[in-house]
Amino acid sequence: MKKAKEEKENRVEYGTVSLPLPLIEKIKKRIKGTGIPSVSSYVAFVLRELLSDKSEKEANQRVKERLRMLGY
Amino acid sequence: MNEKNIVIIIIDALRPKNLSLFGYSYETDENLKKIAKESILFKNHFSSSNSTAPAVTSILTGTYSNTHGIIHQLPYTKPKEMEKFDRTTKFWFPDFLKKKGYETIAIDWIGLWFKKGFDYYGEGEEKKDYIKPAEPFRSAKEITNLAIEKISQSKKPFFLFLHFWDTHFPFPHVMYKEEYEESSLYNLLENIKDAKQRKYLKDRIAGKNLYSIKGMINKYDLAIKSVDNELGRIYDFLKSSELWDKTVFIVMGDHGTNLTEHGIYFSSSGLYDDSIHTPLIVHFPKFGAREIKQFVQNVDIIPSILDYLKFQTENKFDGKSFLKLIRDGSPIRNEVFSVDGLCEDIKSIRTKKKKLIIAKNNFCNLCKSKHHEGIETYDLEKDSWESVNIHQDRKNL
Repeated sequence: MKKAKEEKENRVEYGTVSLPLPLIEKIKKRIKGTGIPSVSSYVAFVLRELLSDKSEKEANQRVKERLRMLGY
Repeated sequence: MNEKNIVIIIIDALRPKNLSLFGYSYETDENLKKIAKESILFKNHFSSSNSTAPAVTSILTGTYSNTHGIIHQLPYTKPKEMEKFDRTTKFWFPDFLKKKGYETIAIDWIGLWFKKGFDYYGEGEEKKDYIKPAEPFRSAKEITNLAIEKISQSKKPFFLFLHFWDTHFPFPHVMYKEEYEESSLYNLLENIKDAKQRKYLKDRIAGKNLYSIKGMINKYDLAIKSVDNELGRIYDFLKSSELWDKTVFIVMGDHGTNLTEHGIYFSSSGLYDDSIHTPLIVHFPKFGAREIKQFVQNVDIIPSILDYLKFQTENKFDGKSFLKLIRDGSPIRNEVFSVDGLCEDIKSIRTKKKKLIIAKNNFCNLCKSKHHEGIETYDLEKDSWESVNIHQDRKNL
């Protein structure tokens, strides 16, 4: 019972978003052959990047700079 | 519940060849040896990756790169890898422990998905020049001070994840001055036949007061020694605070490094043993000390901690608990698997006697050169240096 509750707490809930069909087709063309399994996965990924706040973007920029200093 | 604290210490790019614990003639590891006397020393621990982002993700999920999705090292990690990690990863050790009531502390700088589940993640207060950092990472001494401060303040069982970077090229915190000799630098670079490797190394050492192979190796050894000093401080702190016997304590390399072997200069590119063989030392309170020669991998660490602490989870890991191996010597694996996080697509499988490396795409994102060619097979009993590819000789497969 306890394990089922923990599993339920870990599960991410999903909602539905509408997109114009031409846009969906455009995304399908873009993700073809990339390994990304669905339009939903791609959209979720892009939106997470877009919605990350300014401080997070600055932090990511600093990480890139540090990696560059290490030779990457 | 008899909860123990958990400490996982990563020493970046640490390879066994430069430790006296593994036969090196220079004692770089006085404190590591002290810790090993009260711990399990795994002599044949192999990382699932030759680079940090995939390797540490494997440690914290107990799964291989092909499962969790992160195959390539930052900044070469592809968007589809991060997307797969986001979508499919159900178990993340810091999250799991937080739900168990642990305070979760990480002293590291990478951030991104590594921050998940940690109550504290960072290297301390941002220094003033925070847009363009003056140094790639804080010194071992500074982050040890922070680690000790954080665990001293903890009022709950704690999980400390501590990542020392001092052993990563170009070893910026090591005070070592080499006499500049034009001939040394010229000889160093001219001996590199591959033009792309030559350019890569020339650019990488520019302005860093490094002029010879010997100088770079000396610096690496000094970097190990400086981290070892800090290990000693952490060990002494845990002992004096009476936490040592209440703490699962692990020290390991996330991956190895080549110093010049195989024509690979101060990086962990490729999947030769130097890139993936790393020390692993595990202190489980009341388990005593011994040396284990059978194979283990980084993916086995979390399943083993969960097994030791008797924490239950429905999650399926690629790794296996090595508790039975410690208790009665029963091997948990006969082979180890690794994926190249710096080259585009190279994988390896290694047994005690043979190694198979399959390079579908050997372009190296780091040095822009190529490592490994097609299919390589090495007879490790006769050729531990992995210098003669016997793949063409079918009888030996």
